[in-house]
Amino acid sequence: MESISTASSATSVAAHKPAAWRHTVFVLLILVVYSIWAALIFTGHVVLFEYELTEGPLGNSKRIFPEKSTVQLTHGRQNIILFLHPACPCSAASVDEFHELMRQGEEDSVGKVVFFMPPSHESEWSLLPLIASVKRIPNVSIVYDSSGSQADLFGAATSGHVFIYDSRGILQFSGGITGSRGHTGDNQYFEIAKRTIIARNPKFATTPVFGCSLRGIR
Amino acid sequence: MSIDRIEQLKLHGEVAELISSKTKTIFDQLVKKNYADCDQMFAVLLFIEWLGGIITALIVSPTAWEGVTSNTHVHVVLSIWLGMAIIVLPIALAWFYSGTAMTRQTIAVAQILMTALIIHLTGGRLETHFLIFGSLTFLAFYADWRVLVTATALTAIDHILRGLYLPFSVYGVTYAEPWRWVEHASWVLFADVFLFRKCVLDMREKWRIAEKQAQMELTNEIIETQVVERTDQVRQSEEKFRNLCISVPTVIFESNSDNSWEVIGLPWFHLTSSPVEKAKEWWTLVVDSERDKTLESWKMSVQQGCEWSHEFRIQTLSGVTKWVKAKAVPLTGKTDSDRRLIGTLEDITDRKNAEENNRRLLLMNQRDDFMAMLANDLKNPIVGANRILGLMSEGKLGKLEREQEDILSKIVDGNNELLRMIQHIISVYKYDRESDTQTFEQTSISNLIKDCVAKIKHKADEKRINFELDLSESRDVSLVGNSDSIRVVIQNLLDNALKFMPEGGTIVLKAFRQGDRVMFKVNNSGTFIEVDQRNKLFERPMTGEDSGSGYLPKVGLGLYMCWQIVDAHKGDIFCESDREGTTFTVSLPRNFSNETSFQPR
Repeated sequence: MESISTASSATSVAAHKPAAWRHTVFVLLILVVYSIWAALIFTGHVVLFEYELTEGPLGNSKRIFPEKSTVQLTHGRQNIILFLHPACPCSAASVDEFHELMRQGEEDSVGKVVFFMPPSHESEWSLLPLIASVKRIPNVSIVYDSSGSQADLFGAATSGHVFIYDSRGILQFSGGITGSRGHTGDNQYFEIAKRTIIARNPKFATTPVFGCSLRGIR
Repeated sequence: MSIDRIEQLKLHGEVAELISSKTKTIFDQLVKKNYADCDQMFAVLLFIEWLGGIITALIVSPTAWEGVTSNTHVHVVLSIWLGMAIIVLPIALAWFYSGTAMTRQTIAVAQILMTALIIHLTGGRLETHFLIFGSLTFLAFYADWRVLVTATALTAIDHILRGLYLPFSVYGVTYAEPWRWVEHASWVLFADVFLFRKCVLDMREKWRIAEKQAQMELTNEIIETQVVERTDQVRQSEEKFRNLCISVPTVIFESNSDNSWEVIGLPWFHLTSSPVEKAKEWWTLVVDSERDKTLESWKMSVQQGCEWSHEFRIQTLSGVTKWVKAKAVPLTGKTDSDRRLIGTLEDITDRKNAEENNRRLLLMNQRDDFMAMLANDLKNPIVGANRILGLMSEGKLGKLEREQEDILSKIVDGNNELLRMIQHIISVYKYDRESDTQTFEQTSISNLIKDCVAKIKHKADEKRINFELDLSESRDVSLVGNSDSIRVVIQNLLDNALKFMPEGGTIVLKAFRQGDRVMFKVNNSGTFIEVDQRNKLFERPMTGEDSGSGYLPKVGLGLYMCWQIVDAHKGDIFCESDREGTTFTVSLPRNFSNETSFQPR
């Protein structure tokens, strides 16, 4: 009986070993699969955030309002000028923030939005809802920059670039007012712009711009 | 589970335990099925969310621009590849490991990640954040609070990390208060409280359903067991009935509303030699003369719902006519319009034949009795006539001429012959009547022969006939038999020998033992008997047979009676005849009782 019992337990142990081995392999496999899964997701997010946090190029801003520009300086009031690429998906966030900025400026500010509008795309881009949404903002006028010359004059190279000139035509602020590409909401860059508007004697400030390039191949 | 086992469980109060165990099993099945269903649902939902993310990216940010040139926006690319990376594992698990905890936890993680991606693709729109609460509600379909914990925890971790390093991506701002994630997580937890409660209630409901189903299944199991056992009993009963129907020689039938019968094969075939289908038109087997009457009787019984009993003849397919007796009783529980009878059909041909034979035998006995009575009545006037003739011959009634005396003598001889024949007739009928009550004893053949010879000695002397007795071998021989009957045999054989022996002849009587039999022979040198006549010697004479010249007609019933007696003793009697003479030989067993029982004819 004892020998049978011993044999039986030996068989049980022998049968248990492959089961444990399979379980270990299964757990390892699961760990590998989940690791790969996590890595892929992590990588995707890194790519996503890197793209959204990549600043656009800044042009040579003119400290004095360019006289040759077709964009007219409104004397006696703050001039908030926004350069936009009408087809850039990030522009909508900039318009939202611009709208908020205009509210902050109240009656002391006038807004001017310069849309890059090359003739080759004018028929298509002029119908975009973004332009209509800009038109609904009070105290804002629209200027179409067909050749990109206006952007060059002001030194704007990225869509969403905001220039704030005081009533004398002196540049007070140059940069973006969104936290990243295409993201609406409170952010420190907007706050800097806002402070520029509210403060009577602000210091010149500059912020990064997140958006599409206004230059490229024109 | 048998009924006995169920009763045993009831007695021991184990039913509750059984229900509890079964409830647990059903509950597990219900929960697992719900998990599997939810896995399938989320597999579809994640796929739809992936497609939705791509569409959102294509609508919101299809292209990125550089002046007038454009290229595909990174959001589009990431919505495809990152979205696919997020959903591929949970969908695979839902497909291959459906219902497991690992699968639903992975799905919960993937659902939150997809929600985050979609929020991101819409540029952090506030409205898109509601998808978080939608996702938690969907996850609550699992009714597993652990899934909600995972989803909530992931949301909280996501907010903490992004709040620390990328606040704009979650709060839409590039800076945020350190504890702002708590505010977001609190709203999620607020929703979770109700969702947790919903999970618990769902589980309780599932347990209640499982409990009811367990009770129902147990009840069904009991009923099914009973049905199976009852069905088996019915089947066994039917089998017994069927075997009984086949084994008995009687046909068992059940009628239909159209008067047709349904029968079980073999007895019907034996009775009618026809297939069972013929029973549907059973009345076609009834002989023509009785068909209408039989069918009318049947229909009346069906109509009135009373017992049917009828005897009639049928013509089988093999052409044989048989007597049958049918008996049927109405089946209970049938309406008047659908009344049916169940009954038997029995072959009574043998009984009917026996009845017919008995009737004929009775008639024959009556005739025989009449004949015996007639013979007895005939005897008296002849005896009376003989006395008167005797007185006349003796001259007491006046002197007679010689010629008259001769005539009277011939008349007396004729009367005596007539008396002898009548006596034979009486003896035969008497033997028939008394054969049942005959007794058997040790009988000495030689003594019987001597007695018989002594009785007819005076007649032999008148014809100057001698007797030669050869009885030496039979002196010590005796047999068991009815001595009176054997005496009649010897007497008849001697009478015949004497009768047909010409004057001056010799009758030889010989008795001897041969093995276990006793033989005796009566030989005369008289009339020769032809072979064809010899064959009829021991038959009962029939009316109208030739009564012309020769030996046979004058023998009458004597030899027939001899044969009857010898046959009853299991013996033999035969006749040998040639021109030298005729010999009758009788062979009887010595110990009749040892050989067989007496069987009177």
